[in-house]
Amino acid sequence: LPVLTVENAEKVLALALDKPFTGKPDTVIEPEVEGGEEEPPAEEEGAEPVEKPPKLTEADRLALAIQDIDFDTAVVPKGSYALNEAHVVVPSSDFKGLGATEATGLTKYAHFRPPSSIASLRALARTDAEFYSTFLDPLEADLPRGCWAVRQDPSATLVTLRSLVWPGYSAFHVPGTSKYGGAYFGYATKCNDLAFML
Amino acid sequence: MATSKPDDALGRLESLSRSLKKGAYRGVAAPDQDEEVVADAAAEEKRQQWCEYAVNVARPPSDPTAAPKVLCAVHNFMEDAAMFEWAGVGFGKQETFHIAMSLRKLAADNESLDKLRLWGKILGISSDYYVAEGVLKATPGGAAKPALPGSPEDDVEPQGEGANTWCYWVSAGGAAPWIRLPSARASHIVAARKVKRLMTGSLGAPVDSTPWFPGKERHLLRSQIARISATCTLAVDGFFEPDDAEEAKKNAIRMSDPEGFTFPGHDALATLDSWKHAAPALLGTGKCTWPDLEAFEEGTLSEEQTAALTAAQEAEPAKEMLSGLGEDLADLLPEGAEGSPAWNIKVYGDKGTYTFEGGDAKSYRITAVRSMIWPGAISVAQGTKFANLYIGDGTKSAALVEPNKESGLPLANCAAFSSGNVKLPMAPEDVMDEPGDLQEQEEPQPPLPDEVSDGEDHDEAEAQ
Repeated sequence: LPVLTVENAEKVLALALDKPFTGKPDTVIEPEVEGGEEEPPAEEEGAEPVEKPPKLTEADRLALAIQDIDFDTAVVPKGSYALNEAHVVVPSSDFKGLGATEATGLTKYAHFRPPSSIASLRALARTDAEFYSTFLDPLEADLPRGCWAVRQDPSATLVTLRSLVWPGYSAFHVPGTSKYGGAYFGYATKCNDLAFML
Repeated sequence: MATSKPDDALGRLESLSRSLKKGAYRGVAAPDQDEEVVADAAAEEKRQQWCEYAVNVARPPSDPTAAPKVLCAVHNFMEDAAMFEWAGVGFGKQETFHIAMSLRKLAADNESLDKLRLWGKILGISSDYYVAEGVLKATPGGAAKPALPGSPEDDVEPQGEGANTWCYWVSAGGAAPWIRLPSARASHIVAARKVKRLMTGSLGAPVDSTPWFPGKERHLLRSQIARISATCTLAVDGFFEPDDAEEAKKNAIRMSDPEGFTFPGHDALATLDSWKHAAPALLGTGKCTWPDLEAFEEGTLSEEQTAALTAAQEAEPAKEMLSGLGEDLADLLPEGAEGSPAWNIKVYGDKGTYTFEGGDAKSYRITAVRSMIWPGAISVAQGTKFANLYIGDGTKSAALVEPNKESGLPLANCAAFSSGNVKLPMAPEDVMDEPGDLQEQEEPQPPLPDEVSDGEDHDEAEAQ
């Protein structure tokens, strides 16, 4: 997938596409531009003509969608990642899993993304940050409240979290072990009406 | 560590030293203490109960000493699940087995069932619903008197007709029992079209919504199931034919004679023409058919009522049974595209063709038809079998189809606030004229007391 630059991301957002993906990454998503509008500036002596930027394709839209979905999801149990002494986020070697009952609580999960909430930024900035596991954004602060559905399977050996904002994303954790993960299967349609549906 | 020489030796050493120091530390605890993972008594208890239930439900329902009990026609969900797995839909082998055993238990507990299958799963906020669809055995007795339009009896279609052709049971999964849902009501279906809510998971929960929904969650659930079944129950072309037997109900269908019917070939299955609707479509009134005006006795219906019903019937004729999919949402089709925007067909699996002795080319491919307006509804076909399933949150979605070409509005009945799906004004309209003067009224004054008082004393009156 192409690496998304800030300008391309803004262009894709400005297009405000709401049709589903076609499935062909080469599909051009930008509408045809009139020839007169994009004339390259007058050539100066010796200067090279400015090239027209390549059109945005569905691959760019996909890259943006993945970034959006990942920002809102990417669920990991709290304590599974820690800061080492070089202030780098690494998988915690001490993590042995959550308890079976505490794993059903939403408070024990966090987003694996650069923290943006004030509490986690503060925890990140401390000098003894290695002793904190709150440097990741918690899941319970996600709006609208109640946008995560937690399920425990009947034999109490697996906990699944399902996102209601991005229907199709599921994260799992096997309590008592260090197994966890998440995946998204869907049309990349965000449920914008969720606040009215809860 | 010296023998295994891990890559992050320094990191490991750090965490080792930290845990060593923590063990020897006797002062104030760290602000964010790691909690010990202890054996959880509550979870163990749950696990124990689940194991007992699983063993019980896997036993055949009849007494081992007596003759085996014959149950009604329960679809083999495990076979269908293998087909759905190819399309990427399903529950996993263990859960599929438990669902199949649970369905069998439902059939064993209900003597009045004729057919049973898993309809699907509706995902909710706190808990989910597994939905089983069954056909009850026909009760003997003549046709009921036609109900007057507008009466409460008219609201519910008779058992075995229209939206109530099937009967539904829901379970929360695991060891939870199957609970039967009430019959579908036309007024609930009409109200459910304007409401967009997720299920909470408890059947008695109120439905807080705008506009008001006249029922609890079980009624909303039943209405959504009725809408989904009416739209998304598909069958391959030719599998069913209209039932013209004398005792058949209106719009009944029956399975075709196997001799006259050939299952569509694998190439044909990938086109929309090979699939037909196998359920009666819901009209705007919430029922599947218009009342038969001739069945009413003279004088029971007023002329206005008759005229209104006839006009409504002409405006929206009832769709025929077993209609094709090609015309669904044909007005939303973008120019140059083919097929129907409401359906998406994909082929999965081994697409090779093999010739067996004495037969035509056989293929093991799976053809899956997904609904674009009810995300989660899927029908699959493989070889000579097909099956329907719904796994979703029970709401209609307009995100995957084009908006209406003329008005620019998205698909009707999909929005969270549907007041007739009109474009709500962003600002009040311009005021062009001054508002008319209000007619002035006299101030309401109480009449002045003209009467002269009696002069009698109060005390005298009281003493009497």
